[in-house]
Amino acid sequence: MKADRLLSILLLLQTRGQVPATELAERLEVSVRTIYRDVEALSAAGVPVWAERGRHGGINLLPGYRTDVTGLTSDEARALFVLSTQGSHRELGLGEAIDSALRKVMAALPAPHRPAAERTSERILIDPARWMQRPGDSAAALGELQRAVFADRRLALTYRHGGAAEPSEYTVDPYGLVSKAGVWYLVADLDAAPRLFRVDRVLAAAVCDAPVRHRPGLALADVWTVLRDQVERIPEGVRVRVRVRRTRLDLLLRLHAPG
Amino acid sequence: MPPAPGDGEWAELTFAFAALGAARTLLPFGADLEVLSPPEARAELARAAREITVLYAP
Repeated sequence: MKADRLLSILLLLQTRGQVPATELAERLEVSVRTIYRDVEALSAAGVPVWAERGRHGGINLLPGYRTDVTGLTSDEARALFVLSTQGSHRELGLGEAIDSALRKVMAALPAPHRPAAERTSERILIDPARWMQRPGDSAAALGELQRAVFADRRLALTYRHGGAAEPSEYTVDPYGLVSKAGVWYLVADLDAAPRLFRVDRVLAAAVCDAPVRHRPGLALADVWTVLRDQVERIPEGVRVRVRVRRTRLDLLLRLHAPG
Repeated sequence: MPPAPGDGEWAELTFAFAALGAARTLLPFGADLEVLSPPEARAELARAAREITVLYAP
């Protein structure tokens, strides 16, 4: 959309002062010719931008010119840029939204703090996916489940349990969605007891008319804590004493937690 | 985590398994890992090793 692109150009220029037209074209996925037309449009709207041709050329914005965006401290902005490196936004369909939000944040920063914030996303990368994870495993059902958790309605699920041949049908009361180590889970009550459903095993999901019935006083984070502790609790069983070559110790500890 | 006790080349540790059969998940370490106790767990791994020997017998 053109208005979005004009704002993006303006915010990039506020951050950097001068940006080559080719770079703007690449980042915004349009032609260089379009960028020059956008600059003319901005100029016609009274924004002090101009194009400079030549080797050191580019699109310029009058130094000090800024749209009025509320200020953030540089630490607050850096915190947001750490968040941005997570792929979860893309899986939720919010990838473009986080990119444009961060451009606005960057533009709102006082000039001396910008390099530190911009460097955060260049030097810190959080990849929440497990090794060897295929991308897009969860994508299909995630959209419908997202609608359900925001609609505060009960949810009809067709769900395939691990190892089960036939799918099961459930009506659940969703609290929300959790991404844990690259796997999305639906946290919901089934008959007023907390349950975890892997999103990539949801075959179909339909939002019901009936309003959701949460147990009183419980929010997503509370229910998640209970479920996570259930999974992580080491079951009472056999305690096995082993000796292992130290060269293999690292691998052993990665595969098994000592208890 | 503090360094595991043991002599220079070997370290000793304790793991909790839900059931005895789960101790078989230690098999990929081959002879680089020895179950010291309990005896039932040693027997379980010996049984597994015998099954494998039979399976791959020439």
